[in-house]
This record gives sequence, structure tokens and C-alpha cells, in this order.
Amino acid sequence: MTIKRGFLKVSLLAALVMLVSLVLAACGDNTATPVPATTAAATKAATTAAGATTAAGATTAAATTASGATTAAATTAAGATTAAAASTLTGDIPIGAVWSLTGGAAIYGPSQKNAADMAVDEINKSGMLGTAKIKLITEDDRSVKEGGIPAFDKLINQDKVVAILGPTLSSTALATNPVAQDKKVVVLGVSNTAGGIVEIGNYVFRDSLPEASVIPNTVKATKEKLGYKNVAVMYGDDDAFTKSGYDVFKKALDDNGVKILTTETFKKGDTDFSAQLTKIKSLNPDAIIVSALAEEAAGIMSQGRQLGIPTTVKFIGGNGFNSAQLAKLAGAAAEDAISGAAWFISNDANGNQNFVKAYTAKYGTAPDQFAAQAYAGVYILATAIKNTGAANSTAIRDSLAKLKDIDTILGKFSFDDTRNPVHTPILQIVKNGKFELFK
Amino acid sequence: MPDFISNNIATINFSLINIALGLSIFITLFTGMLSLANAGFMAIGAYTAAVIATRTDFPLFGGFLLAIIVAVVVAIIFGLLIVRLREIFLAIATLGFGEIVRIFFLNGDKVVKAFTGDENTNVFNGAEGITIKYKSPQDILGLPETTWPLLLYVAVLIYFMITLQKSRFGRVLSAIRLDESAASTLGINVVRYRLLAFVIGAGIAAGAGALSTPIVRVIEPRNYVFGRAVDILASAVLGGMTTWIGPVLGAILLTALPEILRFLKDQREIVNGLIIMIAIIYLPRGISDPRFWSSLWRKRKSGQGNAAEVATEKEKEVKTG
Amino acid sequence: MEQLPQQLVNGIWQGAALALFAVGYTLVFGLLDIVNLAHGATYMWGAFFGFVCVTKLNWSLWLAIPAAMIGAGLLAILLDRLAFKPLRTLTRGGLVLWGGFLILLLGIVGKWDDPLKWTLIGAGAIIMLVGVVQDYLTKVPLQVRQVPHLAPMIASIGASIILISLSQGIFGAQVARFPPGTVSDEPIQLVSGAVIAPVQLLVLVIGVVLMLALNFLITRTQVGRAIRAIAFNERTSRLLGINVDFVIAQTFFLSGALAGAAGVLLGLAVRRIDATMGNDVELAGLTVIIVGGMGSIWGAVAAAFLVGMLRVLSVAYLDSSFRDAFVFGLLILVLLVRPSGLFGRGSSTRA
Repeated sequence: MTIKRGFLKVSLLAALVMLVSLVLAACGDNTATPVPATTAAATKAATTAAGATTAAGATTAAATTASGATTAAATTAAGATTAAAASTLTGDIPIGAVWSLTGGAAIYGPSQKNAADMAVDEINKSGMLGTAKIKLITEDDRSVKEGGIPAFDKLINQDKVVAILGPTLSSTALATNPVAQDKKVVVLGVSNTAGGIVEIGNYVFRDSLPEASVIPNTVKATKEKLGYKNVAVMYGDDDAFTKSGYDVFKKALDDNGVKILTTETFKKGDTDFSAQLTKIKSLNPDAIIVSALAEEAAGIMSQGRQLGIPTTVKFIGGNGFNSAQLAKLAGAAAEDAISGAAWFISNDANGNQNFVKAYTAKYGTAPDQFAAQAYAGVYILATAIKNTGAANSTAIRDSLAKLKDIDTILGKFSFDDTRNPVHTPILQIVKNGKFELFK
Repeated sequence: MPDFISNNIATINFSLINIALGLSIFITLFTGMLSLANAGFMAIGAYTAAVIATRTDFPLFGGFLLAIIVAVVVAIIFGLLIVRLREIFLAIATLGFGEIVRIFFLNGDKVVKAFTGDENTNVFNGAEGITIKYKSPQDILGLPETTWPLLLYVAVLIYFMITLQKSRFGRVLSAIRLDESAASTLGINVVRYRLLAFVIGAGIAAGAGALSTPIVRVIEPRNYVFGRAVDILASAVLGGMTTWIGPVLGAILLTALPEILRFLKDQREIVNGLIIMIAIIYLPRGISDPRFWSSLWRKRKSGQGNAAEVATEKEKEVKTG
Repeated sequence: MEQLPQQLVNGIWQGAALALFAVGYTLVFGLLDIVNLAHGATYMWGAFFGFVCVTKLNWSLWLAIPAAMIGAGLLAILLDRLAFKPLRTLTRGGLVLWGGFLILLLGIVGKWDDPLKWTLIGAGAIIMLVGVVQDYLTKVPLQVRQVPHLAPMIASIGASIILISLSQGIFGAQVARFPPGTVSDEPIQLVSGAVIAPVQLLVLVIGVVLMLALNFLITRTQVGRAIRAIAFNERTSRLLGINVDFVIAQTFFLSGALAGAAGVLLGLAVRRIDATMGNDVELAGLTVIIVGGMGSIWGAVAAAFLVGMLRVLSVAYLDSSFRDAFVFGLLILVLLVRPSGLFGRGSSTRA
């Protein structure tokens, strides 16, 4: 008898939960509800335009039909008719984005999402694509492949996106991008630096400078300036990004004839590095090379200085250092930390300061390199769409591959033959809690 | 391919993998052992298959068989050590084993280097793991070719579980779970049967790991962390451990839930957690609890259940808990 | 050998940090045989309670630590009422509590305008309070349940997911730190070649004080006697007139308060607090309470120092990549040689 009453109550409870989820669904933003026929509209617009006898129409037709772009189409698209080309675009252009918004990489995903959302808003407001608007469909991959693969499937099969930004993690990209390649959907990675990404196929691009293009220069320049001979190395051995950074560092150090006294490792999420640092201190290195993300690097620096590693022994790192978090978390210990990076927050050129200001105003924190590369990625994609004047994946692919020296907040930007980014990395040093160029 | 399948093929594949893993822990739970080593054995299976796939021309089936053999050998050696441990102690020892396996794959190249002296050894490739070359899967009879082995594997496992529960072997395992000392006075070699259940579970997990390689595509240590072991356990417990249906239902629910809840965006994880909590509070014996479903069935048949019936049910509830 | 003094200090410090986390863990484990996988989330929330007190309310650290302890303690009680209590006994008050919790959650996560949001949160909180009181006054529960012993663990996984996502939603996923200068950064010279940071010393001192207080509480007071009685035999304790449910709530409060103190102090010492900080210590904490012996407080403390020392020395004289492998190797070894843990009571057959 009592059990039955309990049963009833619990049933009510279950009903309440269903209610909650329904209300939650209703109050969540409406981008989740599929808007049908957007792609149909876009393609229709393209085909009608092709029917007209304008130069732009011809470009579109060429781009839609031929996947290996003909030279004629190429010259017209890149040429003076870009404005006319843009006018053929109408309706919503569905573009997907896969970020790690929850789970282990949730430190990085949200700033990418913020920056990408901001860039899309700006583009849609400015009329850069004429009357057409980018419709960004964001999915969360929970920082695991098991979340990323279904997210790609959903974006490609259900939302029919023409291009995908992301995913946040390289290891997820290695698992998801082959699907996009197979279905001929453009992927533009904005934070993937591991090897083997662009090798997946000709639809896979990235705007994130791999460590291999940054670190050798870092080692060479800092060795010239600081004249170190013996160094200690620390890296996170359970993370693909920090581990591949270490591999490049090791090779660069060997090439420059620098002796590695000891190599110490740590795990992601470790908070205590005192054992490794004490060992390093006892060996008296001239410099300490750290391949770590900003959160762990900050811990290493502050504990290192606390243990009495003299400030003449500099910390040198890669892209992972490039976050305002470093100085915020490590305080004075981050002073004089040197890193090679793909983006420089104080760079004046190409609207970078506008980006930093707008981002800070909108989200309350300064952007990091993840945000900058995501923001640049949206603009790169939009430029490619504008140039080709068509919202289909093959045309965008061909247009992306031809981008040369366009202005982005990362600097003058091009893709090379292997769809890797080409722009000048910078070398920076922390002075008074801010990044400055290292000279 | 029907739209539903092609749109959700990834979720279906991951569900099948998780069903196999759920069944691998089910066999040990059925014997009254809580083993958290299955993520480790899955890693052993996946790495074996991945090394075979990238370094030799063997078909997937070869890697699959070898994976099971390797895992079984490791399971026998490790099992002999720990099979006498009970309850939470067994759980923690197996958990430690899983972590050691993961750390081994993370730094395995160092170990190999130490033995061979070859500086360029790169078998496991540390945190970056082994990437399997992607081949666009062909459709065979309405399903991608990568799904078929998994489906077949799960079907075989379910058939095995059905026969197991009816067989003498199954009754022996069940007896060990219910009362170990009684079982041993009946002349059952408890340690041997416990070891057997542990090894079978390990083999099943390794097989699932091997077959998961074309789906997961990047075999890296991060796939096999502590959280994975907990997920495997959660699917078995949430689904229910009385029959094989439990792990199957639990695995499908836990795999599909985050995908079904995609529309919730930011709130997805919270609702996910709520559903897990409420499901286990409402049905602590798992969602496949036969007593619950049969009582529901009876109630519908006889209109409202009478008080006497409910009272006996309550007695049962307390007795068997 | 020149690094040895410093490494010993490092080991002691790591041990103290682990002990602080693990003691609360083992308290609940010893009493109820529950592996509470939401303990890490309570620890994380404790850190954020302290963080909010210091940064938003501008309280001093000395006020923030007790506040965080009380906050995390209450959170732990709530956790028990929502996740574990319904698996022991189901009461009408418990259901009301759940209803209030759902309304509260709805208020927190929904994209409402401010007045509605606060109304929902307020209403949810009041209903929850009513539920707790009603639950406490209940004489005859709706249902006394016997559930499989793994069910509470699964419920705690669900609770942990909710707590972590809530924290990510409210505080963001970015790593935060206590404002610089909360505690002096200037290292203190101990002996030649060994330094310790003031904040580390603070953790050691407060840790020792808390352990002694806890020890006093468990061995010398009525509450402690009740806790030990229930851990020994719940049914007999009930017959002897101990209000089991109330004592369980007190134990959860203690456990949560210790987690809260650990959260603030360790967050302060390592200069980072974030939503996943609990997950990263969970496994080490679990190792410690098993090596120490289930439910044994001093066992957990001793094991924490053992594990801390092993981690440090394996980095110093062996290979840092295999640090955790050594720890888990020790774990398995201890289980094989002495399955009930170094200081455990009873035999390994005890569930």
C-alpha cells in the first residue's frame, strides 16, 4: 500500500523532469530548431544567377560544376568582379562549428565559440556577403571523439553545412575530418596543430600554425640572444598537443647543439610540479624549455620561482603560453617567459586591436590565441565564400586553396599547397604582465 | 540506407561498442565480482588491433583474434594475483591495473627502447596514439561494412549470455554470487570459476576494443581513462544486472542520451546527470528490473493491483535486496 | 643527493594536500560503504565558495575558509538527501525536496529575465527547505529500501555531472585564482637547501589542526560515538535509539566541510581553481583511502603521506613518466599483501 503511494509520487516526479527538459528546450536559444531548405535556397539562388549572363553567374556555374577549378573561373573569381559575385549569394549559408564546450578541453572551446559567434555577427551586420547571411550551427563534442564523430555526422547529414570550423582538439580532428573529406565538406581547423591533419585530404585546411613552423625559429633566436648551452625540458606526456610540441623542441635543440640535462614529464591536471622542478634546479640549467598549456605552465613558473630557480634562468615555450591566463595565474613568476606564437595580442595591424577591444568588451576577458584563430578562421572562410560567390563546399574549397596574402588579425595570411597556414610567427616575452615582442 | 540509420550511424556504432563492453562487465558482476579492469583490456585489444592494422596486411579479423589472445593471457596472469580479493578491494586493484595499462601505452615506447636499444622506436606513439587510415565504408545490405562486425559480435555475445544463464556454468557463477561459502561447500572450485569469469570478461572487452578501431580511428591512451571504466560500470548498473538485457539497455541509453539531448545546448549535461540520478533512484535495480516490468504488466491486466499483492511485493523487495 | 631535503619537504606537502582531501572521503566511505564519486565536486564547490567570499564579498581569508567549510558541508548534506537518502528510505519530504531542487535548477539554468529567475530560485530553495524539515519530522517513511550496493555510486556519478556543469555554467570553464597577495608569496627557508611557501605551511598547519579536531570529535564526543556505532552495525544502533539519519547527515556535513577546507587551501596553494579540479584528485584520493584502510582516518593520513612521498621520490630518482604507475603498483601490492589496507579494520571479506 505504501509502496504504491511512493510509486505514484515518483511517477509525478518523473513527469516533472520531462516538463523541466521541455521548458529548458523551449528557453534554449532557437538556433537548434532546424530551418529547412536554407541550402536549397542558396543553391537555387546560385543556379538562377548562373542563368543570367553576368560574369559572376559564369563563375558560379563553373565553380559549382567543376571541382578542379578551371583557370577561367579562378581569374574571374579572384578578379574585380567580387562585388558582383557576392550579390549572387542570398539566404542563409549554413556553416558548422564543433567546439569542446564541456569536458576536459572546456577551457579552450568557449573562447573559440565566443570569437566565432562574434565574427559571424560582424560579417552578417556588415553585409560582407551581400544579402546572404552566415548561419553558424555550433555543436559540442564533450572533448571526446565519441562526441565529435556524431556532431560531424549531424552537421553534414542533417544540417547540410557547406563547411565546418573546428574541432577544438587535434585527436578529435583526426577521427572526424575523414568523414567530412569523404562527403566533400570543407573543414577549417582553427586550433589543430598535430601532424597528420591536413594530410587527411584536400578538403581539410587549418589556420593554426603547427608547432613545427614556430618552434625551430624560437630555439634558434633565443639561443642566439641568451646563449644557453644546457637546458632542462618539461612537458605534458599525456596530451597530444604538448607531446608533439616536445618532439619538435627536442629536434630543434639537437639541431642547435643544445644539451638536454633532463626531461621531466607531468600529466594534464597536475597541480604540483615541485618534485620535477627541484630535480631540475639541482642540475643548474641555463634555461627551462616547457611544452605545456598556459594553465600548467603558470603552475610550473610560480612553483619554480618559489623553489628558488633564479630569474636568470628563463622559461621558454610554444603556442601554449599564448594566453592572458599565463600572467594572470602565475603573476610575477611569468615575467620574462619567452614563447613563439602564431598571434600577438598587441599587434596593431589589420583590425587586431578592434578585435581585442570588442572581444574584451563583450565577454569581459581578453581574447587568447584560440579566440584569435577562431575569429580569423571565420573571416578566412567568409572571404573564400565572397570570392567564389557560391555557397557550395567544392567551390569554397577551391577558393580557399587560392587565398593569397589576405589581411587577417593573424597577419598576411595564405594557404600553402598542403593547406597549411602561411604567416609569420612571432616571438614574444612577458613584460609587466603583458606580451611584448622579444628582440 | 534509411535516413534514420545513416543520420545516426555513429551513435549506433558507439552503442554497439558500449553494449559489448557492458556485457564484458556483466559476466563478472554476474559472478559477484566488481572488476574495473575492462577499460584496460579494451585498450589492450584496441592497441593490438591497431598495431596489426598499421604494420601488417592482416585483415581486421586477424587483429581481433590476436587482441583477444593477448588480453586473455594478460588476464590470466593478473587474475591469478587478484582473483581472491573481494568487493571494493577487487574493484580498486582492477582500477589500478587499468591505470597501469594506460600509463604503459603512454610511455610504452620508452620500455621498448630500453629493451631493443633502438632510439627511433615508435610503436605506440605516446599521447598522440595510433591513427588508423580511414576508408570510406561501403554499404552492405543497408549497413556500413564497419558496423556489421560489431553487430555480429554483439549478437554472438547476447546468444552466449542467453545460453550461459540457462546452463550449469551460469548457475555455478550465479551460486557464487549469491553465497560463496555455500557454493564452495557444494564442491565448486570458487577461485577457478571466478578466474574464468574474469578472463572471459577481459576477452570480451578486448574484442570490443579491437572492433572499435575502425570506428574510433585514433587509438590513444586518453580513450581508456578511469572515466571510461566508470562509464562501462554505469551502463551495466543503470541497465540492471539481473539479465543480459540490462547492460544492453543501459549502454544504449547512456550512449544515446547526450546525442538525444543535443538540442538542450548548454543545459545538456545537467539534464543528462538528472536523468541518471532519477533513473537509479526510481529503479535502483536498473531500468530492466524484471520485477518492475512484471508488476506493471500485472497491474494493467488486473486493473488496480490489490493491497495484498503489493504487500507481498514489498516483502520480496526487502528479502532479496 | 643535494635535492633530497627539498624533495622530502615536497613529499610532506603533497601528502598533506592529499590527506586533507581524502579524510572526508574516507569518513563517508567508512560509515555507509558508499564510494561517493561526487566528493571531488564538493571539494571543487568548496573552493569556489571561498573564491566568491574573497573576490566578491571582499572577506578576509580567515572568514572565507570557515564560510567555505559551512557551504560545502551543507552541500554535502544536500547531496546525501538528494542522491543517497532516497536509496535508503523514501519519504514524502524527500520527494518535496526533489521537486524544489528541480525548480531551483530550472531557475539557475533558464534564460529568464532577472525577477523571474530569482523568484524561481527563491521558490525552489523554500520548497527544498520545507522538504528537508518534513523529511526530518517523518516518523513512518513511504518505503524502506534495500538497494544493490552499487546504486548509490551511480547516483553520485549523476550528482557529480550536475555539480560540475553547474559550476561551468556559473563560473565559466576558465581557470581562476585567488587574488595575488591573499597569502604572502615569499618562500621561507627551512634548512639549507629546502624552502617552503607560506601558503604550503598554512595548509600543513590547518590540516593538522583539522585532523586533531576530527580525531577529538570521533573519539571523544557523543556524535563521534554514534558515528562509530553506526559504522559498526547500523541495525543495532537504530535499536539503541540512535537517530541514524541525523548522524548520517552530520557525517556528510563533516565530510563536506573538510572537502571545502581542502578546496580553498589547495586552490590557494596551487593558484588554480576550476570546475574539473575535483576529477584530478579523485583517483589519487581513492588510492589513499584504500591503501590507508577503509574508513580509517589515521590510515588515510598515513597513506596520503606514503603516496605523496612515493610520487615525489619516483620523480626525483626514477622517471617522472612512470610516477603514477609506481603509485598504482604500490596500491596493488598493498591489496595483495594486506587487503584491508595498512590500517584497516576487519578482513577483506567485509563488503
